[in-house]
Amino acid sequence: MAAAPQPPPLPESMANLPDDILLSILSRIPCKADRARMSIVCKAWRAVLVRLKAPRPRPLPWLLLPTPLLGGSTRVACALSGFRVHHYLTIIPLGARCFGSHDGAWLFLSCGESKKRSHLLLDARSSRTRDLPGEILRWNDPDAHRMVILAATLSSSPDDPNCVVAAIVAASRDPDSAPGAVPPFPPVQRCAAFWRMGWPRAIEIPLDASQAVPSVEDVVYHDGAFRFLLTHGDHILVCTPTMGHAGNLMTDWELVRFHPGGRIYDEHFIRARYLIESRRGLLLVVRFTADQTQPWTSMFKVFLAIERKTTPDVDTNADFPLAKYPWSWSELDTLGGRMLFIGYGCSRSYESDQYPGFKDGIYFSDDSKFYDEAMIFGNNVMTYPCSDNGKWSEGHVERCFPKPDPSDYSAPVWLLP
Amino acid sequence: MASAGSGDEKAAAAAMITLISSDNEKFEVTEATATLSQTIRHMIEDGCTDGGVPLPNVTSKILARVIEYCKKHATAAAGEEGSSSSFSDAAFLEVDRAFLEELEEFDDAFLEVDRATLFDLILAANYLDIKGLLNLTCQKVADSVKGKTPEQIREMYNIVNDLTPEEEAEIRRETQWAFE
Repeated sequence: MAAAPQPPPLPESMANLPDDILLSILSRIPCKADRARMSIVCKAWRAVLVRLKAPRPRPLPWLLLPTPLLGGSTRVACALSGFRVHHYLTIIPLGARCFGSHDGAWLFLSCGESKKRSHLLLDARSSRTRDLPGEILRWNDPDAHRMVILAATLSSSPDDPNCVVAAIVAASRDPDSAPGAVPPFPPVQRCAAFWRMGWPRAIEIPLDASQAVPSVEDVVYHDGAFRFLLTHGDHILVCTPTMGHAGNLMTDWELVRFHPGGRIYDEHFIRARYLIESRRGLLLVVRFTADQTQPWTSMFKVFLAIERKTTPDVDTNADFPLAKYPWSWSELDTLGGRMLFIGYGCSRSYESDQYPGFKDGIYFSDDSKFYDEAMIFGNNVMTYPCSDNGKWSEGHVERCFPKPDPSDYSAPVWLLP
Repeated sequence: MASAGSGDEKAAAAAMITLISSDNEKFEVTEATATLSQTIRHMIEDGCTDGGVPLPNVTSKILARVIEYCKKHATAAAGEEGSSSSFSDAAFLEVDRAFLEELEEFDDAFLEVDRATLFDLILAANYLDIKGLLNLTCQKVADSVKGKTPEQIREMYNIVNDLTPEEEAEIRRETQWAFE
């Protein structure tokens, strides 16, 4: 019998594994903070990280979890690092309400109460800020109204001189401006607005007047235009900003009607709807609860905006003549390799295959009080439960984020790093 | 070990492959199990498996574990027909899910091994080119590091910190925000 072959030497440390294996392991540690911590373990690990320069995918959004204490730091939970709290952020001004984010770690903040309210964009890395308006010009009233921004999105980076903001806001006529007069508007009204970065006032975008109660639920910037999702009918109001030669901002708007899809909302209650750009298309994500009295998210459905190719000869539904409803929402059977992070004004789509170890899924946070205008406008202390955060994947809801605390100043929001 | 069988057993015997570990232990497995390894699949295709497949890089202890994994996943692969989780077909999803859950439980239990064994499994999976096992074991190592402090990692992997305080301070400066 031949002599037994020498057993291969055992790797004493991870650093001694072959490079292709190390790269495979590192591709599963995509978070920048985790890599930084690994590099400080010992010389050998440091050398491996420096030598391999393993690529990192585009970072996923961080979930900011407010603390119950006003002066406390916001916890930063990282999906790339197993949803753990990585570090803490102190968001100044303390107690600000966060209402969204823009790529580059920009956070939308609202602080102060009543007349002293201000809105701003904060770069969470460098602490730079941009002021946002607190007043709005309504389309049929020459007087400016007070405004609370509820959700917002940008056409480009705030550093771009042509950056335009579109927002869903609550407008309120200043009760002191016309004493004794009957206000022409309800005390607080939700509306759509836009402005160029730096303007002192927002401009209202008139919603579809034919709707009994026109209301707007989400806004996204997609394909050169802002798209507002109207609560009734899932129609979309398209608002296209263009810059004139003199640097003046011009906008066109158009209502794009969607043909009702039918059958989609049986046995479940709609909790929220979001628009999200994905693979150059536009998706509608519908979030459901199983029980209207319970806040807990139970499932999602996802629809793709599809333009009809030809006008059909026969209209099957006299109430919705297809010629007037050129678009439809087509339900997707699967997420098809997508990871969706949903939040009003700041939803983002990612490709699962860029993140080894990750599966298709929809990541959601507790935005149940986002549009509670009356409470946000009032001086009452408001409680944000911050509890309905998680991931929906393979038909299951998973409560993967750290245990949240309720907050009396902000809901949890995504930070787009 | 099985010797030459009678005529009617020959078809079944033909689908069996003998794997030989570095310490000369022989393992007889079905072709379906063995071909989860791309390395062995290519050897079979080239017709060079007569008399057994020597695997000088894999000990009997590790090979036994690798075969255990392959047996389970070969069964899984046979039952898996273009499995993609649809969220509209509930009945399909139920069957699919029970099956996947069982497989995940098996994988979790399979990975309950000490660090040296885990590294050996990674090297064996790499050498034998078993993609599923390599992904699984690399993920296990990655998960053990994610979200840990440098101190926790050192303790887990019995690593002595040989960075000088100056070097450590410099690295911390480069990546300051990650340590806040």
